[in-house]
This record gives sequence, structure tokens and C-alpha cells, in this order.
Amino acid sequence: MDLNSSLPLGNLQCEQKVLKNTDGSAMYTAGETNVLVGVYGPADCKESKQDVKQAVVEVNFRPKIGIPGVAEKYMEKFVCKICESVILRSFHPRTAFSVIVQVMQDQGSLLSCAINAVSMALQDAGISMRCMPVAVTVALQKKEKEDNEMKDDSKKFVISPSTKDEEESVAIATFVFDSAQYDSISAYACGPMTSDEYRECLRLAKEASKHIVRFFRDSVSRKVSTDIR
Amino acid sequence: MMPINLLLKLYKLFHGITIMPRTPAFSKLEHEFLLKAISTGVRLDQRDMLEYRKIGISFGIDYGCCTVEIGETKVMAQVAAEMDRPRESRPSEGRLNVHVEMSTIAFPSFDPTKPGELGVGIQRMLERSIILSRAVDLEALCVRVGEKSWTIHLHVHVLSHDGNLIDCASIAAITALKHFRYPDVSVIGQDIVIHTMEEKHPIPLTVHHMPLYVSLAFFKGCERLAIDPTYLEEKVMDGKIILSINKHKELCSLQMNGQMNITKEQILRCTEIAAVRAKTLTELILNAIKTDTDDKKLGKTKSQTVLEKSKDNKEILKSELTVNSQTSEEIQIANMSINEDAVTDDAIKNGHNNKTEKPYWLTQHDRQTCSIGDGKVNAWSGDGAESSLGIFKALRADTQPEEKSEDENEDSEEEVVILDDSALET
Amino acid sequence: MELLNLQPVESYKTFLKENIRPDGRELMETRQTVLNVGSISTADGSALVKLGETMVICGVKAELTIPSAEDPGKGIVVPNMEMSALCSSHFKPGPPSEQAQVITKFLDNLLKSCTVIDTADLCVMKDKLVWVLYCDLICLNYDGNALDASVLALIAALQNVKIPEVTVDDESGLPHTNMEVKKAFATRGMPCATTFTVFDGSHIIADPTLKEEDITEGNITVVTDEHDNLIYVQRQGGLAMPEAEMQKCVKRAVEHGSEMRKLYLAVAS
Repeated sequence: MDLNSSLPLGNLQCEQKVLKNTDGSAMYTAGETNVLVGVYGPADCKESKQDVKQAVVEVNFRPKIGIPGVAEKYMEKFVCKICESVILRSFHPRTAFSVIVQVMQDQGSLLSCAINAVSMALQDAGISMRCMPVAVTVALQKKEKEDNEMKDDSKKFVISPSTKDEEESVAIATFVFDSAQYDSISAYACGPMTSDEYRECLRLAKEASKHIVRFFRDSVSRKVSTDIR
Repeated sequence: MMPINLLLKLYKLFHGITIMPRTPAFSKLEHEFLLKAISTGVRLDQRDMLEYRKIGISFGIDYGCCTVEIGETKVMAQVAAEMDRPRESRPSEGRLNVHVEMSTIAFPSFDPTKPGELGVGIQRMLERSIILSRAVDLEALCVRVGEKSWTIHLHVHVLSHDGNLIDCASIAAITALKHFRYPDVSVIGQDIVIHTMEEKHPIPLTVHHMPLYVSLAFFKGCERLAIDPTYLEEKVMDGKIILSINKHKELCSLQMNGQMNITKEQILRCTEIAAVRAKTLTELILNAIKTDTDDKKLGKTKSQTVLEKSKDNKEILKSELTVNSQTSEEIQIANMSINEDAVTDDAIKNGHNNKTEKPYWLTQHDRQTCSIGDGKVNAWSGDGAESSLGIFKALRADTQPEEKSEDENEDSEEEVVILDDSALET
Repeated sequence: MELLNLQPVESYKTFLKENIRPDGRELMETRQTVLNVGSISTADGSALVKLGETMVICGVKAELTIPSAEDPGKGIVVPNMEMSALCSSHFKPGPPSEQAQVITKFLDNLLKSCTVIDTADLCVMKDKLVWVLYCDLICLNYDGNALDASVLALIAALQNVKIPEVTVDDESGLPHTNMEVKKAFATRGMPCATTFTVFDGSHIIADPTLKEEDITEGNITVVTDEHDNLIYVQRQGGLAMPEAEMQKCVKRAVEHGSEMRKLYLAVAS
């Protein structure tokens, strides 16, 4: 069943400190999807938005073509909730963290790519976090729908699917884990699946997330070593 | 009761120190230091006054997507096509729309919800240089007169701002347009079939010429000139001349911002410099697109072409300028010792200058494209007059099909009028 | 009660120690749910849902339109959630609040993924004429968990939709609507949403009220269908949580879903 689990993540690339004016930034490429993220913070905050106990997080999601709509708002909210749960916000009361996500190229698994990019950008900005969020998208493809006999043979899980894979699949799930315990922080699954299938997706995603965390680590250590030089 | 308010204020004050403001501070000391350095011909990034920063052009997988970096300034452009209805006033033409997006990612004080003064400015300038100079053949985009035509959307995303946004944006815009392909269409009776990229090879846009913006900043009462100013240099400059010019040395737009008192010789020199620059840039862009298509054939998904910031760049500039210029005086452009002829407020002297330099005016005028006179009117008369002039020009270009020669003729007429004026005065 | 307002978190903890919530519910218990269909006579389909104090009304308006060029054989369903200043002091008048937009997108994703309505059923004439269903949801009173209520209202309203028969004249090619004969179309599933929130990183509570939403972090929404499949799982924020807890939610959602489906069936008959 887990045909693709041998390391199907495609090529991963990450470049930090790409933008001059931001406090932290990262350009993250997974497969052919490419996202640029800039982070400011902890910075000055509008009085109406201030929180006396902890910092607030603003996320701005910018599509490549056209003006941001409801779909972008949904993504913003999702990413915002993740940031709120990982950043140690009580260290910086009355301030704001602002995260800007710019889609550079969307060829599938956009949400997970965006979250990983945000994670690396937050890391680059040196913001204190509980853990780093790691996201993986899994797509469930079935050849014959609603055929219970055939189900086991014809289903296939694709990790970090491309746009084409996404179109062919019946359900898509994105899971976000913490980099320390690999417990789930957030999840987004859309499309019909049994709870067994859901668990299988989760298991695969968890495996894949370990590879990604290793990649994070490599990427940061490489960056740090060049910084010293 | 009162102390609570006071306490709150104090609390905020103390906290305010630890909180970073949205706009980076710029001290007076820094300001003065920068100016002092520039007056001795030294720039913070060790560039020569006429040296560009490193330019990188890279492409994405999609057609019409490109990212351009000039030093730390970064702009992404994406072109998209949409089947639409042509404008009623122009039933046989497609449309080209320019959208400029300035998000907070580029600069902390940018407002993500609206483009702001700078963004609107860039949008206008791109429209002027690309649409009004008819760089893209819009008639080719029409599928059926009055009913169906392609609308091309040019989205320009500013990703990082370190000065000279307009140059970067114009390179990105032109490169993206040049790189873009739109799907082929066949008309069968009443039906219009849009073919997918797999069915038929997509078609590139017809780009007649490539107008590129080159900005030149003036410092210290217009005595010093620097090409490709950084963000800090833009903060301390008196103003800048922004020229849109193509490799055939045709001037498409000229704009002056800021408080400047410069002579027409200086403007002419700027044009010379810009022309040389535009030529190098055009070669770079064409080279980049070629590399990209070669790479795509080989199956690579990414390519990047870089023009290094190097001394020979400057050498090219110098040598080309000497070749082009007619008088030995022109060679000095490269050295930019403008102080000798920087006539500021002396009107009579100015008149003298015109008189003595008249033959130079005329010859220069013959060799060059002639929108200098036009540009001068543009720059003094502010934004409104400018755009109306642009429309006027576009309308006239419309009535006569041959654009290039027509443009020159038309402009030279205007030029003659101005020259006549000065002749009469003297 | 005074204490609950002044020190919500502390007093809530004391309640939870006894495994009970201030309103007398157990942790995994949901509030009373009331469903009424056909409440708006002018709409083509409507439903009113009352989940405790939270009230959401949904009206569906059917209109004929020309289909988009990409999908010539498919109709369109457009959900839109509105949470105006009317329903709670949390919202201010003006453009739609962030929460409303997020719910709108949630409903849109849900309709696309679970095929409650096969949009091909909405086609009258390919490439020429299709139905578009505008589903307007308005939150009348907000006391937490607007998501579950709006899913219930939307699905019930869609089941309630009756659209007039349309005949296309062969000669002229013009459509003719017969208002006398109205028919309902087949809805193909009965998804049901259940929302949980996490208090203090350890206690999971179902169907939170507004007060509870304020003091908890992270919410989990599980949508199940009649085969007890998961259609939509959404977990936003909160602290990292072991998988077993999540499975508890899924289990409870399945139970709750089958109860709620009885409601759908009761009003449908």
C-alpha cells in the first residue's frame, strides 16, 4: 500500500535570509511548488489589535495571480493558528508578529509547503518557539469508488502530491506535526475516507515529516556553517 | 484617577523602547556621511558612480513567470491570459492590464491592502512605457472583432525593496511578457475552441520592442550623478531622472522626480547613458530567455542568468559612449564632472548656453531619437498633463499605422518648434 | 456565576474537576439541537437551526444562468455565511468578518468534496442553461460553535430545495419555467459536523459555547457521512496533542453524526 514511501518528497530546497528588509525570510521549494515567506517581529502593533498578555500574529497570504479572496483567508487562518500555538507569545506582550506568505509557484501541496516555509522563516528570524511545525500533504487515490470489495487493491497513497495527483485523488489530507514529539498540531483533511484510511494517511505523513525535519536540520546547519565562514 | 492614565503612558513608553518600529530609522549622521562619500565619488557598496548592481534573472516553470534581482531589490512578474470581450472603443484589439502588488514582505511600512503612492507610481510608469509605446501587439490578441479577444494581465509583485524598484520592475515586466505563451485558439464557425498546451503549441506574444527604465539619481545640487541608486541613496538624493528607452535608442518615456535644476545637456547625457544601459540589458534579457528555453528542452526546471557587477561592465559603458558621442566633451559623461556646466539659476547664462551649443543641439537631434523636447514638457508640467499628452500621442499613433518612423517625425516637429523659439529669443 | 465572569479559567477548572460544565453538560455532550425546515416561504429551500443559543438560518435561492466555459455541463452552488453585528458584540458592522469568511470557505470545500449535490443534476441544457443555488446563511444569534449549526442548516436547506420544472421549447430554444410543478432533487449524503475544543491542553470538550471558545485554544471539527466515513477533518491550532485523543474525537463525532442524521430524516419525511 505504501508504494511511494521510499522518499517521495521530491526535491527539497530551502534558502534563508533572502529578503533584505524582513527580520527573517525563507524561500522553500518542495517538488515544483515554491513559496516565499517573510517575517517581522516582535514589532509595533496597532492599539486596537494589541493583547496585554501576549503577542498577536498576523498572517497575510498572497496569491500569484489576482486579488486575495476567501480561499486565501482560510489559509491565513490555518497558518495563523499554527503560528499562535508554536510561538512563545507571552514573552512579547503588546507586540505583533507579522507573517507574509507569497506564493511563487503552485504545483500541488501548497498548504504544506507554505507551512514549512513559515517554519523556516520563523527560525531564521530567531523567534522563540515551542517547536517547529512540519507539514506533510497526503493524497488518497482510488481507482474504483464505492466498490468495497476492490477497495484494498485499488487505493494508493501519494505523499506531497502534484496538481495532477490532487485532481485524481478522492481525498487530500495535510497534517502538521511538532518537530520534537511528532504529535499533531493541526490537520486539514477533505474528502471521504474511512477512519482506517485516515489513520494510514497520518502514519505515512508522520514518517515523511521525520525526513523533512532532518532536511530542516541539514539546511540550518549548512546555513550556519556558511555564516561563520 | 489620573495616575492610571499616566502609568499606562509610562508603561507604553518603556515598552516602546523594546518594540521595533515599523519603519527603519535613518539618522542624520548617516545621511550626511552618505552625501559626503558620494561627493568624493564613493558609494557605500564600493560601486562606481555609473555601475549597476548585480542583476539576476530567473524563471519559473510556468510561462511568463520571472523573478529579477538587482542587488537586494527583488521583483516577480507573472503574466496571465484570459478570454474576454474587447473594449467597445477598440473592437479589434486585445487588452493589457498592469497590476502592481506591494506587500509588507518588501518593506515594513508598505500597506498590503492598497498599493500606495509608490505602487501606483510604478503601475503608471509601466503602463506608460509598455502600453503607450505599443511594445506589445494588441491587435494580434483579437480572436473575433468586437466579441472575443485575449486580455493579458501583467502582475508585478514587489518582493524586496532596496532602491531602484522601477528598473527592476520594468526588466521583470518585459522579460515576463517576452517569455509568456498563451494557448492557441481555433475558430470553427460560431464556436471558439481554446486548445490546451498539450494539444497545440502555445503562441508567444508579439513584442515589438523592449522599453526599459533606467534611473539616474542626482546628488549635491545636481553635481553628482549615480546610476541604479540603492534605498539609502534614494533617501538622500535631490531627485532622479527615469528614462524608458529601448535598444534602438528610442525614448519612450522620461520623468523627473524631486527638486532638481538641471541643464538640458545633463538630460542628454542621461539619455546617452540610459541608451547604452538599455542595450546591455536587452542582450541580457534575450540571453536569459534563450538559456531558459534551452534548459527547459533539457528537462531542467529552473534557470538563472546573472549579470555580474563587474568592472568591464563599466568599460563597455565608457567605450560605447566614446563611440557614440561626437564631441570630445561627451567623453566626460563617463567621469561625470558636471560641475563645470551645471548652470543652476542663472537664466541669462542659460540662454547663452543654448546659443553656443546650438549646433550641438541640432546634430544631436538628428542622430538621436527626438523625444527630448517632448520629455522636457512632460517633466515640468506634472502628472496630469503628462498622461493627457501620452494619450494624445497614442491616439495619433493610432491614426497612422507606421509607428516608428511616425514617432520620429512627430517628435522632430515638436523639437523644431522649441528650437525655433530659442532661436527667436536669441 | 459571578466568579465565572471574573475568573473564567480558574472557575472553569473547578467545574472540570467534577467532569461537568457550568451549563450542566458532560464534557462530550452537545447542546439541544432544533431543526426546522421550510421556515422561509419565499425561498426555494430553507432551514433554521438552533444549537443551544446559537441560531443560524439558511435560505436557498435558485436562479437560471449561463454556465462557465470550463464546466458547461455543471450547475453552481454558492454558499455564503454572514455574521453581522446583530448576532454578537464580537462582530462589528462592515465587511464580512474573518470568521464568517472562514466558515464560507469551509462550507464551499465541504460541498465540493462530499457531493451532497451532484452539480451535474443542476444542468438544464448543456453549455446554455444551468441552475445556480445561492445559499445564504445568516447567524441570528451567536453563542459559540457556528460551524456545526451552519453545516446542519445548509444541508437541511439543500434537502428542502424544490425547483420549478423547466422545459425548453424545441423550436425557439427558449426556456419555459413551470411554477406549478416543482420537484426536489436528490441529495446524496448527509454530512454532519461536530466541533470540539481543547481546554488547558488536556480536556476535550464538545460543542463549545462562546464563553468556552474564549478560554480554550484550538478547535477540532470532524465531519462524518452516513457511512461513518470522515469527510472533512480540520484542526486549527492549540498545543500538540497525542493521536489517541484525536481518535476519541473521531469516535464521538461518528456517534453524534448518526444521532443528527435522525433529525434530517425526521424533517424530510
